[in-house]
Formats: sequence, C-alpha cells, structure tokens
Amino acid sequence: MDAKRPKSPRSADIISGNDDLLLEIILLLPPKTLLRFQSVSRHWHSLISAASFGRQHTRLHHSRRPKPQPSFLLRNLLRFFYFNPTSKHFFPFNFNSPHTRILQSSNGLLLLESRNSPYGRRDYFVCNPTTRQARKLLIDCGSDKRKKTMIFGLCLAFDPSKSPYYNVVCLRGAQSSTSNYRVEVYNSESQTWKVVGEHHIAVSVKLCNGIYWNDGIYWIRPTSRSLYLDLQNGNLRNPPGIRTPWRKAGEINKNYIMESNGHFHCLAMYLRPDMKYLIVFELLADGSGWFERYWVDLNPIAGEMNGPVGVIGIVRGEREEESSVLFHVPGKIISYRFCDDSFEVVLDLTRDHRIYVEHRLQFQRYDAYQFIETLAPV
Amino acid sequence: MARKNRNPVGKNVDPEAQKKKTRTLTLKSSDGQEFSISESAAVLSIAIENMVEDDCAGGVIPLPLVDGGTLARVITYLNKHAEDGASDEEKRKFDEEFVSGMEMGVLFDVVLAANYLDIRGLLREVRRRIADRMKNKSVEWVRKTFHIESDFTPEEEEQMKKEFAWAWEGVDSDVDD
Repeated sequence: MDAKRPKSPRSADIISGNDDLLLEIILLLPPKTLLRFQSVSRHWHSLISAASFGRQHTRLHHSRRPKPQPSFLLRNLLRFFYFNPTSKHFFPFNFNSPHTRILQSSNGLLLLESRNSPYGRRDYFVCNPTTRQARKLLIDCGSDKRKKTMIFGLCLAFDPSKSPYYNVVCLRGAQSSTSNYRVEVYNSESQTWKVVGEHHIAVSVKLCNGIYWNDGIYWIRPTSRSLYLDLQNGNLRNPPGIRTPWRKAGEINKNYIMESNGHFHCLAMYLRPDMKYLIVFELLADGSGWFERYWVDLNPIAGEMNGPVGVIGIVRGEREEESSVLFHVPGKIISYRFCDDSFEVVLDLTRDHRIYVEHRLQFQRYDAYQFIETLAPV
Repeated sequence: MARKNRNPVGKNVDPEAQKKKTRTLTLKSSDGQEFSISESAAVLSIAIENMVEDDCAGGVIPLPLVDGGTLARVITYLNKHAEDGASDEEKRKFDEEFVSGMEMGVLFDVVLAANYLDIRGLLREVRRRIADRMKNKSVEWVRKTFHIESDFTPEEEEQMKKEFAWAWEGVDSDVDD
C-alpha cells in the first residue's frame, strides 16, 4: 500500500464542501455516531438534525435487516435510566419535566404524559429518546371548554420499517352518549387530527398500556375482555381467542405482555419452590391466538430467584442468537439466550448505593420500556 | 473459460457490443498520464459514455478532475466489472478487496472520481467503506480528516457531550488507519 503517498487535502476540502456527497456518506452511519458528529461543526449539526435527514435515515436503516438491537428505559421510584444490554451502558436519563410518565413505547418513539408540577396540568408528548426531540400533542384544540370530553386512552403507532411518520390514536368520550367513544387519529405527516369513528363500548376503564402491532392497537387484559383497534378503518372490537394464556392454580404466576421486533408475546412465569420456569407465548400472525414459542428452565438460576423476580423485557433479534429475555432480581439484570440456554448477568447494581436496596427490585413491573435507536423526527 | 463461439447461431449477438469490446479509448488524467481501456469497460462510467456519444471517440478523452494514480485505480475497477464471465460473487469479492486496503485520503480521491465519472457501483462501495471507517471515530478525527474547524464554543461542545454522553462511549483512539 502506498503509505508515503501524501494525503489528498484537496479531496477532503471538496467533499466537505459538497453537501450532496457528504450526506450520502453520513447517511450510512448509525444514530449513535451521528449524534456524536453533530458536534463536529454548526454545519454538520444542521445537516444531521434536519427533519428531512432524520426521515431519510429512518427509511434507509429500518427498511432492511438486520434490525438494530434495542435499548431500554427503566424507571425506579425517583428517575429513569437508559440501559443497553448489548453495550451494557447504564446511566440516568432525564426528561424535560421530572413529573413524566411513559405511556407507551413504539419502535423507537415514546408517548409521554408530563406535568410541570406533581399535580399540574397533564400534557402529552411524542418523544424520540435517542435524539431527545419532543413534540407536544395538541389534543384539546377545541375552543369551547364545555365540549371537552374525557380522554380514555392515548396510543402511539410507529413502524419505521413502513414509514418515518407516526400516528397517535386518542380515544375519548363522545358528546352524544356517555358510553360511546370517539376515535381520533393524529398523523405526523399531515400534522392534523381526524375523527375516524365512534363506538359503543361497555367498559368504562382507562385504556392505557396499548400495544401497537400489525396495523392495530391491542389492549390485552388478564381479567376482562381484550380490545383491538383496527387502524385501517377505526373499528374497535373484542378479538376472540386472545385471553391471556392459562394460569395454574396454586402456582405463583406472573404475566407480561411484551412486543419486540414485530413479535407479540405473553410471558408467563411460574415460580414454585421445586420448579421454576417461564413460558413465552407468541401471538399468531393473524392475531387469532397464542402458541408456545419458548420454554425456559429457570432452575439453573434458582438461587437468584428466591426473592422478588421480574421480567424487564424480551428481545427478538433477526437471528436466534440475538434473541433473549431479561430477568430482574434484586440488584441484577440477568439475560437468558434462547439459542444456547445461557444466563449472563448484564447489569450488576449491588454496589451502587444510590439505587440498590437489599431484597428489593430496583425497577418495577411495567416500568421497563424497550426502544430502538432511530433518528426519526417527532 | 470456454472458447468463444465464433459463429454463433441465432440473433442474440449485438454487433455494437462486440465492437465496444475490441475498440479502445484513451483516457487522459489531470497530470497528463494516458491510459487505454476497452470501450465496453469505459462506458460503465455514465459520464464517459456520454462523452463517447458526443463523439469524443477516436480521440483522447481528457479527465481534468482525476489524477493519474486515482484514474489507474478506477480503470482496474472498470476492467474487472467489464470482464466476460466474472460472476457477481467474484465481483463482490473483488469490490471488497479493492477498497479494503485504501487509506482515507485515497478513498476520498476515488469517491470524488466515481462521483464525477458517474460510476454508481463504485460510488456505493467507496461510500460504504468511508462510513465504516468513520463509525467509531472521534469528533476530532472527523475534523482533522475532513479539514473542518469547529465553530462551537467549548461550552456548547461540553453541553452536547453531556446531553448525548452515551454516544461518546466506545470511541476508537485517534490513530489513523
């Protein structure tokens, strides 16, 4: 190789001055690198933070395989933490307001409920935790205050493999009748709300914890009937056959509904003194029922599982080696790989006195949110 | 390789394509070096194809934006891709080896040449290679390599580094590869 050849200073200058060429190169870089390179110069910052660049990057990187490995936002009683089980990075993550709740995570974007004081007015945001951009949703846009009705559910639908734009679904009481719901959808491309339908539902509970899957939103509830909202036509119905899988009498049983990389799961954990195991059910592609996808023998780590145990998440990679489930025991997060039945402690907090309390879980059930890093604009 | 059938039966032999294989063009670099290349290889560059169509053929095609060293590399690439019977797999392997040993300055020269000569495949390959090299590099390395001076204040830089601290994890040291 020609080591003595002088570097081409001219070429570097020409490329730096040619935005088209430069953009085509940096478009190939992953989000993490691009966030770092925003601080190269003001010009690079403006190129990388442009919404059009974010959309182009999303189209290019999420339309093909392999999909990036997910990160997590975990919450303890005081704050959120960023955690990546692959790189093992773990650090505090702050939202703009400390009084923030994550309502939903959908493939890289978050739906947030935020107040400026503990009892302040609720505002709703769509936020990209990778770029830290957030957009406030203008839900109560009507000027007549008497006509405002209660919001029963708010859901985010974002699938970067299909589009860099997202939809937000709002279910609220209709003005015509108290047991009717009106479905409104916000589209980030047109930046407008549209009423897509009105439905009669017999349940009058908050429809939170929806999961976006297969062009619709699912609310799977262990004790009452599940609901499915078809985003194509705004229809709301009770899907048959997807009550959460069986529970055995006398066993300590926990159910978790979790989505990862296009797979919809119900994780059922059974912890008996003599036998501990986890069954991962997956929803069939047509949403008609569950099948048993994995069976995990927890006895090899039974010693860790005598106290409280939780599940942080399931990760489904494109390849089986990248698929794992993350358990949480006091002070530790343990990853289990399905392909070779191996357990690994991916996070040890037992020496972190700010967080660790003996015999307690640091992160509560449903306080772990999976997301993939993306530059998708909000 | 099987011997060419000199008397092909059927109508699927394009006489124009045959002519291109035997006809040679001369490309002249910015520093005056001349290279002969078969027309069929040269026209993989859309820019050269246009020049040939505009009747520069027969004479010498001047390429004032490409130096001799870079042009020699580009011609190696074009010859491989115009080669009869080279399978896609063979070409893919060639492409990978072709760019793997190049240092950043050379990649820059080649990406500009591929851009100017409009050679899509080469452009794609070199862009990808440059991005691969940049992926784990520091901000300082980018500034040095792309000749950029920071116009951020140290406070602004510190602020961005704090905001996206995780993006600074796992960065290579600045030794040039």
